[in-house]
Amino acid sequence: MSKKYGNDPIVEAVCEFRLTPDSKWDLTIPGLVYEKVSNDFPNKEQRLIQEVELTQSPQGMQQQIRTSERVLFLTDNRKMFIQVGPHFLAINCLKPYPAWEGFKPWIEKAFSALTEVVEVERLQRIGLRYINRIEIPGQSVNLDNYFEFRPFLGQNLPQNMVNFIIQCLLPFFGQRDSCKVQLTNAVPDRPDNVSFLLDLDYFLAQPLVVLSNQALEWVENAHKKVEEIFEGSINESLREIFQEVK
Amino acid sequence: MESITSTPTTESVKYISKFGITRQENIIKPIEQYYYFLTQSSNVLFESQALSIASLFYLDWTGSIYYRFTSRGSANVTFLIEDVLNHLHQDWIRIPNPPEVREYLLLYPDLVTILPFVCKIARERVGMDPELSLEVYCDPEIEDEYLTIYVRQQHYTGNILDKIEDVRKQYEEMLIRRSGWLLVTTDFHPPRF
Repeated sequence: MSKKYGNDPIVEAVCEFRLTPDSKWDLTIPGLVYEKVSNDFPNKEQRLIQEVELTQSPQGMQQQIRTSERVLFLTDNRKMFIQVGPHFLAINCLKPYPAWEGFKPWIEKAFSALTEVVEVERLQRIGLRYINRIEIPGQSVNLDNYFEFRPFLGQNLPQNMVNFIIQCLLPFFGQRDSCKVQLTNAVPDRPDNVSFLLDLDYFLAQPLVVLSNQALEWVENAHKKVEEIFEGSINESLREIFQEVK
Repeated sequence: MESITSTPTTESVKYISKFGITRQENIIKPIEQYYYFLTQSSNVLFESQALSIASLFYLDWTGSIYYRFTSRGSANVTFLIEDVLNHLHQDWIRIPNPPEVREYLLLYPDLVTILPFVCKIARERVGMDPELSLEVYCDPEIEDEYLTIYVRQQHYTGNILDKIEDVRKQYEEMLIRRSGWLLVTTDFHPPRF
């Protein structure tokens, strides 16, 4: 976020790139990427990912459950890592978030490492996601005082909630991009706080329209949009809690 | 409604069978409905009309199947942790120190999806009265730490250890090939909340 906060709520930022299914990929690629990033991400791990794929066929809908493997390259403090799987690369940054100026160079480095070892013409999907966990002091709070993106209950409904989830999908650039904005309650760190998860998932909704050499520019623009949506979702009371640094 | 064929082959499906839910339509129908919802939403485009599910499904308290769908952008690790902790919290699993549980699950994320399973079977076996408390146990002597679900009640009867042993038997197999560790036990203390 370009507004700097001393107590920012970001618990995870992720930037992911998915290549087209027909792009070349083989088992040596994660190792080749590792060679290029191992100075900064020296630790390796493997994780199993389960996926369900639903496909429409003339015979009806088909469900396939499969397990795939991802390789993780982690920094020594494990707060930042690169994930590489078939036709997929992501870079994750856990709290403490080092500001965009601190995260962006690692996105560039990871994506460059990938494009140096794989021929990437167009991207199937690009995503930039920020997960914020917001802690507010108090046993209960009035959401109107903190959020500009919040659930609305009409006058004829009970006004107390113990649990909620709201989600909107916002289109950008003529529906080329979308941002899934979600707010839900979360488990607070302290019993005398309430906690919320504000999840901003900005992604390329139209596959293949972004060329490889435009991907980082797309990410920069995505970050600007995410920043606008974040600032548009909160109000001054939260900015005070986040302790804006001017 | 379209007919559906399925090829369930993974570990998770075995778990579902193990917990007695074997009717395929029970599993598939909500997926089908969700898929219908997604495809009706013009702004949601999925690669090859497919969606991926990170952490496939787990059982909630009531025994119904709980799906956690995410789009292809499922590379994050924190959302599922937060979602599962919130789910447990609402089902009266005490989490006295959420930051340390979060830290542990970030280190061993493959434990996240079995937590609701284990809490469910623990609650079923020990009943509604005892407190279940999810904590990180740190063994100072060997610098080991693992997730622990403490069963605590006001008065301890002789069969509590048998019940806990029954719970362990049901989930221990799930810990194979997972990076972290999870123990259900009691410290014979009264409930703390």
